[in-house]
Amino acid sequence: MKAINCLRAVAAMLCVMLLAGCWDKIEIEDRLFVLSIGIDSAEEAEHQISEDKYTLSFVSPVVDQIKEGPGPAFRTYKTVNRSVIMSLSQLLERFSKKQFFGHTRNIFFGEDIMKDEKLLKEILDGISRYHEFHNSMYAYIVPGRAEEVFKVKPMYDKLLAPYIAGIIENSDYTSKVIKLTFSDMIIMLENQKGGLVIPKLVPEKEEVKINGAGVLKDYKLIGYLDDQEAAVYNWLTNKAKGGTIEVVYNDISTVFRHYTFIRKIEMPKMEGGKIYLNYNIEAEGSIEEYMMGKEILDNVLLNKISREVEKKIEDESEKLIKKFRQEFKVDLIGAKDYLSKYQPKLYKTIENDYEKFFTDNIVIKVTAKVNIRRVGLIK
Amino acid sequence: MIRNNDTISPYQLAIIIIMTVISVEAFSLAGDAASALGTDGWIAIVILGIINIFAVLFMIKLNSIFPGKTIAEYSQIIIGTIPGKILTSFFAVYLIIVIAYVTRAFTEVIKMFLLFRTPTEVIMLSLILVCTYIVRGGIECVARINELLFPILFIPFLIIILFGLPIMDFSNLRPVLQTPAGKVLTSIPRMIFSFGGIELALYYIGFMKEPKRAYKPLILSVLFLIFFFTMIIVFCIAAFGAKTITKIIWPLVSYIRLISLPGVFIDRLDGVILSLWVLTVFTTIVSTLFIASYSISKVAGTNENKQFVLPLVIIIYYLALQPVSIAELYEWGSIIFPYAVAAFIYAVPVVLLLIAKLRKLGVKQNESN
Amino acid sequence: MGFFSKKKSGNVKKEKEMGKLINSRNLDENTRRLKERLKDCDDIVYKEFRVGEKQNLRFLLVYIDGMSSRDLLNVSVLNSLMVHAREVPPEATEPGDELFKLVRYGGLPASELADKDNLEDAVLAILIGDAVLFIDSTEKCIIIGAKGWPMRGVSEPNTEALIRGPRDGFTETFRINTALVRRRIRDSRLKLKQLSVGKRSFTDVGIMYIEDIAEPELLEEVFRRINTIDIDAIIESGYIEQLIEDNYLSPFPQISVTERPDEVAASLYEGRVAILVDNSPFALIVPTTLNSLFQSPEDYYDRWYVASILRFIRYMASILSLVLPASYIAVTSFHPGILPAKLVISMAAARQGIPFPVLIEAFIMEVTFELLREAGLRLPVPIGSAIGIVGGIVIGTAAVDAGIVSPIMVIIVAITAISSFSIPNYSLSVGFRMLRFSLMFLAGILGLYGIMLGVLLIASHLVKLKSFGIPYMSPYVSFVGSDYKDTVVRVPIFLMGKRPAQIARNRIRLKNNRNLINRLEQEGSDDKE
Repeated sequence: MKAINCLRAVAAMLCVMLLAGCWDKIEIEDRLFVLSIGIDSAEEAEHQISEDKYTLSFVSPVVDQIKEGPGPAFRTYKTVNRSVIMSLSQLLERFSKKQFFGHTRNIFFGEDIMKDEKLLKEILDGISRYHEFHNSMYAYIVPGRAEEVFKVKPMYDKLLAPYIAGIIENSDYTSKVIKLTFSDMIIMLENQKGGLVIPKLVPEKEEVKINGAGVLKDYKLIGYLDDQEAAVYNWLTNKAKGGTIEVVYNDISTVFRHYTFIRKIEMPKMEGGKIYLNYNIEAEGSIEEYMMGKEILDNVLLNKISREVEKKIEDESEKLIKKFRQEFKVDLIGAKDYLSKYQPKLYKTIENDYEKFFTDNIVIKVTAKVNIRRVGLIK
Repeated sequence: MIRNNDTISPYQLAIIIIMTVISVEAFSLAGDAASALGTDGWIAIVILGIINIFAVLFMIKLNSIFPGKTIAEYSQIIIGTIPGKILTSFFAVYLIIVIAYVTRAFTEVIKMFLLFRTPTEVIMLSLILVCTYIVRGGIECVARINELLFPILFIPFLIIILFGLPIMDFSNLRPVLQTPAGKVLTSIPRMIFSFGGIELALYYIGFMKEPKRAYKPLILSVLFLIFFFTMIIVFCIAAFGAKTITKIIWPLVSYIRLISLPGVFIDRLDGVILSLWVLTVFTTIVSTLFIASYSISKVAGTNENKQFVLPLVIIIYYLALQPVSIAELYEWGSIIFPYAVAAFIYAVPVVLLLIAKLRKLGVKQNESN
Repeated sequence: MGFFSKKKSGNVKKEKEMGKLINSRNLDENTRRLKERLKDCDDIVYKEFRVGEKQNLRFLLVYIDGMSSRDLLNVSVLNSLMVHAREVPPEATEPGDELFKLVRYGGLPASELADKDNLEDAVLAILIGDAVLFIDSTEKCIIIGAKGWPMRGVSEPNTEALIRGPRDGFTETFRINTALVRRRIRDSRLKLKQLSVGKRSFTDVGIMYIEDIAEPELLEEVFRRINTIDIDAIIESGYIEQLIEDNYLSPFPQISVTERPDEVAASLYEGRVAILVDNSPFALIVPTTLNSLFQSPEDYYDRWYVASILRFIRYMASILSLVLPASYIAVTSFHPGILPAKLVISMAAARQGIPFPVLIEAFIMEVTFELLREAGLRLPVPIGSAIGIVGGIVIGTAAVDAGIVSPIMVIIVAITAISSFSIPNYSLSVGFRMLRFSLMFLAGILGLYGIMLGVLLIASHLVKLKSFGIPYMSPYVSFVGSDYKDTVVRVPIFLMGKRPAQIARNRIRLKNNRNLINRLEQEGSDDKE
């Protein structure tokens, strides 16, 4: 009987909860799904009060229009406020629906945010702390203002956010697109003490282009990589999968498509206070384009083309390494990662002044090995 | 056929211990480990686990002197009735604090990820009352519910956690074994709480028919715990890197939030895992609450422990509401638990065993009594 | 029926210890008493006839018209006594005990005879369909087993149709049912203990078990519980079920019910005990576990992987029918982050303009569905299908078009309904249906957390529940490796070497013959070489 009484107590409590309850219930049609967020520093003209720091732009689908006819089915809107979270709650003062950020796929940072360490750190903290945001959303830098992205009307897609995220997910097929999730961004900023390579997104009228990348040092934007350099950055950090490399051989421009691209680092020697690192790159793929009327199915010729591709990879890589060492003076190409993981004792000795050590005393040599396995359908 | 109501099988013992030890602190375990030892965080767990195997051996040794008796009963034989009762009451108080802590900590996680506006009181009270229902069924029901929930919890959990393999970078675990031995040893006390719950074996062995058969299940359960905790730490470090992980309050939840199953009905898994985790917290509270009420019944000298359960709920509820913030809660935890757990896992069994040996107590005297 | 009647008379004698009414030696007195006792029972036939040269031997045959076989009485009583007795004049023609013996042991060519000297016994025998023959100047009467009433033949059970398996099912006649079971167990150790339950109905209740497999404690418990029943009448086996089950509050059936003699036989071989009740084609099987409710006899007739897949589907279906609407409520109203963005957006689009919250919407649809199901059940088959069309198609489409419910909700309710039909046991599926509504409310208050609490509460209840001393959740809660061979996965028959450990003794069921078969094959191929 005691068990029954206990059951009754539980049941009674549940009834009470039922009468009082439903604290967290928000019907699905009462939510406004925010699919992308853009963050800019507020312009003077937009200030409502002088403390306003951020302009946040949002895009949400108009669910009624999703299934009807062609044309975009989203609306954009923006807020100006002192902090990210206050901007988010300001939306509740303006909309009947409750914003929901669980499905946010993209987060765009304006250039001016990236140039201000304090603003950027506040934003990153606010977003990582907020439970609704999922860390697997993609992060981008937008030259100019991030709100420009939200004026794009995509040609084929009804929604803006899946369109842009879809481009990022093409990174398996083209090495020129850098893929960076928000959690990778936080991890990288943490590990590199403020260094970051973040894909650059250029909005145009009917489309956007992921074109190169922004480079941050100490939470500040210090320059951009162009799209070729972005590809090289992917090679050097072992993030490249598929992609194309074009070389000119005998005045014929030849396209090599790689399906796998593996980078390995080793440290052959340490001499005179200098650390020598070897980046061994191995790519595998096929020739996609040569010249009509000329046969390419020839081992000697293919070997020569491979050499050419290897040379191109090595040259491009060394150019980028030089740029990082001399122009940016920051190691975002994996040497630090390698040293800290595989040479921990050595790394301990140079940890404190690593940036200087990187520019002066680390010599990186790139060795590529390209295997052309196939040549397509014709000889 | 109409089986005896008061015994548990060796297999059930192993599962009770596993399900009791794994609870809400598994969420924050990887962060604690990484902040103590960086990429070598898992070593502390392995060493601690091995130490705990020995602790468990001591417990079985102690229990097999008094087969069929729990610590609440034989401590009164070993060190006298009044000191034994005092020890048991300490045990009970400690267990009540553990339940309150676990309840509150889990409520905080739930409030963070699932129910934001639902009052803390409702979440806590509903959880404890559901636990109460099964605790009143006695030892047999406690053992059976553990056994039932074990596969329901671990099979989906292991499957889901393996979906994270693509986001893991195992080179994040390097450098391996670079931490000096001294630092490893000093970090172990910080991790002791992760195995808190093993001390309940002191009671649960007493519910077995033959304590001798407890060796295999208990050692296996500690090995399982080592495997499970190491896996969580390794996966979390591999996903985030040792540096980032120290900044996250619940690395396991964050890790699961990164997993997405493309093309399936379920996109994000944190809600699913958190609701699965209700099971572990439930079993922890059930096993602990049962022993707490059992200890009190032994101190009070009654045979039934049912009547103590509901009053305990009120105490637990009151205690759990005491910490103002999650920071205060964790501070409480870090002050109380390392000492209490160390005392009950290591000190109490060893000391009791020594006294029992010195006084030459054991089965023979028992029988002559 | 002789054995049966004796048993019964034993019981009645005990009851009648004080006011036992011995028959009078005078036939007229007996007739008077009987008529007084069975006053206003116009279906009782009193057939008085005289035999002998001087027509001085008076007999009285009493039976109920319609319950006794007239053919049998005509041939074996009237014909033999009236005609044959005339052809061969009896030597001892004096009325009295000698005549009684002559008739009892030589005169009646019927297979079931018993003699009684008690009026109560005679009345009871008449009431259960036997005929009673009174002879003048002796207090003994002869009870002739002449039961014969119109009965339904053995036909295929409607509620438990199988694709593969025997087609015979129990009928309303107790004796046929016991015969159907015994035909499957030709073992002297198959025991059938008959009791009579009901102070007015005196319903036959048979307890069947195999002596060396069933646990004695279980038997004792079954007898103890049945003997505690003190009721006027047992109309159907459901009365017995409800009177002896462990927990009357539980939504789960703790005694399984079947119409199939093959299932009863299989259960007996597993060490369970079957309770057969007269006038009911449903046999009760105890103890029952949740696992056994998911088993269908077909599982053992089909090959093992077919059976395993079907079992898995049944378990999935039961889980779906329990939590699907609740999960839908929890996910849409509390945690839309769980679902992929595209799905969520199309769900939100589907719910545009729906006036009710999801909880109420789900509730309306579920209740509508329950109404339809109940209505379809009560109607004759041809109209029942019309209800399906009106309810399912017309109301479903109209409700969606009217914007009262969303199309996704209709899909959810339909899947739930189909799932709940895939549970093989009817009362189990009703239990799940009840729990589904409570889970829906919990989900409406606390989201996924509420569902988990509800599931834990159900799990706790299941774990506490016992059926005749066996944990309801065994073998899931009592680790015995061999018992897991017949759970979600049913292993090949040759591996199921042991009976369930929790229930049976004498556990070895079969020896693995696979290696023998393989060896013969091996030898055969060797011979060829």
